[in-house]
Amino acid sequence: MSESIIKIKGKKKGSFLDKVKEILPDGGNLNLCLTCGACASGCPATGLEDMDPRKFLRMCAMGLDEEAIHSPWVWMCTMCQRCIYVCPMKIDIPQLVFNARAEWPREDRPKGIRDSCDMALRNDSNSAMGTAPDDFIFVVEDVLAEYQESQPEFKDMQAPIDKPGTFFFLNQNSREPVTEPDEMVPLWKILHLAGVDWTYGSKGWAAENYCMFLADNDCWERVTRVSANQADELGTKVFLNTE
Amino acid sequence: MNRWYPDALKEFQIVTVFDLLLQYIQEGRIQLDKSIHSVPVAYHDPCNYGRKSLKTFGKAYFEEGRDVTKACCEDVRELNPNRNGAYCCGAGGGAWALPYSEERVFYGRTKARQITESGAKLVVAPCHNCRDQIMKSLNKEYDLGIEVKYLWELVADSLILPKK
Repeated sequence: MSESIIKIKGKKKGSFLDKVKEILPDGGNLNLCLTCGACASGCPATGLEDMDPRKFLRMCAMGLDEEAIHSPWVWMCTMCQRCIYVCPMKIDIPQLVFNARAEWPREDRPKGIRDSCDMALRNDSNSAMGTAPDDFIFVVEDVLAEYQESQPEFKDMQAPIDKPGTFFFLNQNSREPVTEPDEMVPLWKILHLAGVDWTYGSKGWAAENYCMFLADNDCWERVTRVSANQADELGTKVFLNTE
Repeated sequence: MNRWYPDALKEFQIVTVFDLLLQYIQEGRIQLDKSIHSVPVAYHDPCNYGRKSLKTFGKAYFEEGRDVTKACCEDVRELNPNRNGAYCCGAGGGAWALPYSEERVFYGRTKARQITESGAKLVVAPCHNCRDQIMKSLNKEYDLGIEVKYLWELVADSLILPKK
């Protein structure tokens, strides 16, 4: 064993891996890879874009930052976290992927997901489909009236919006009011039969948050605060998250 | 939350739809009819409520969804591997808003295989993305011939209405 540490001269550029290690608790164990490949063998995204979780991590470890970060694969991995639990060293590859997404200049990130985030910022709904508060209110009232009429056993069912002081503040994925409004009704029926006092909010009613998937942390927080503030202002007790 | 925001937890209460449905069923606030869904049923574990919830909040919702499903259906089957080892459906991470739909369908092949092997005719998917991926993509692309329901949809469709 040598007693002195060999120091490599020359200034090393800070790597992507080092940067992410600083953010994550325990550095995400990112430097503990045994190269066993358990992550890759159990990952459904293995093979897409000639990439897999093991290769992605190894490339980052070897300093191939640009090649790894800018592979479209970072948008194909669903960050499902299966690799973390099969890994003997519990390495957080999904967080590495998330931070790789964040390295992309915002304008270069895939258009669909960027648009979904921008839509949510357009008005107070938070909806990735850009649905305005008024449209949401209209659809809810319309669907409710239809069911009250066609199903007499539910004629007293309610779907309140901005009702102050209720027990639950309920949110709602925009896909329902916009594309499948009938799918809002099952939960209304359950809450009705269970005799629960609840409300939607005209602001922050939409449950989805594509800014999170876009890796745009500031907008992610902004969208979340709109919902939380509305639940707070209405004086509701419990935020019932359906997403 | 316990680890990072202990103060916030004193001020706010967070309730999941799993806890709520299970509570209503256990307390008898809602009554369910098991004869409505008599086909073989499989419960799909969404990453968000299992692995991700475990890592972020310290609690995974594996059993609650199964218990609710079993309260609605007689023949509940497992997709193997499941719970913490479950395969992602392929539509997580914002995939629905991304331009890689062929890749999303390819990703879903393992989930499709699991469903076929289970023999289920109805798949219960509590998560939005999972439900859309299994119902609108995998069912069609892999000829699964199944019905897909949200967990609360399953409950609502099983409700016994109180007699007036």
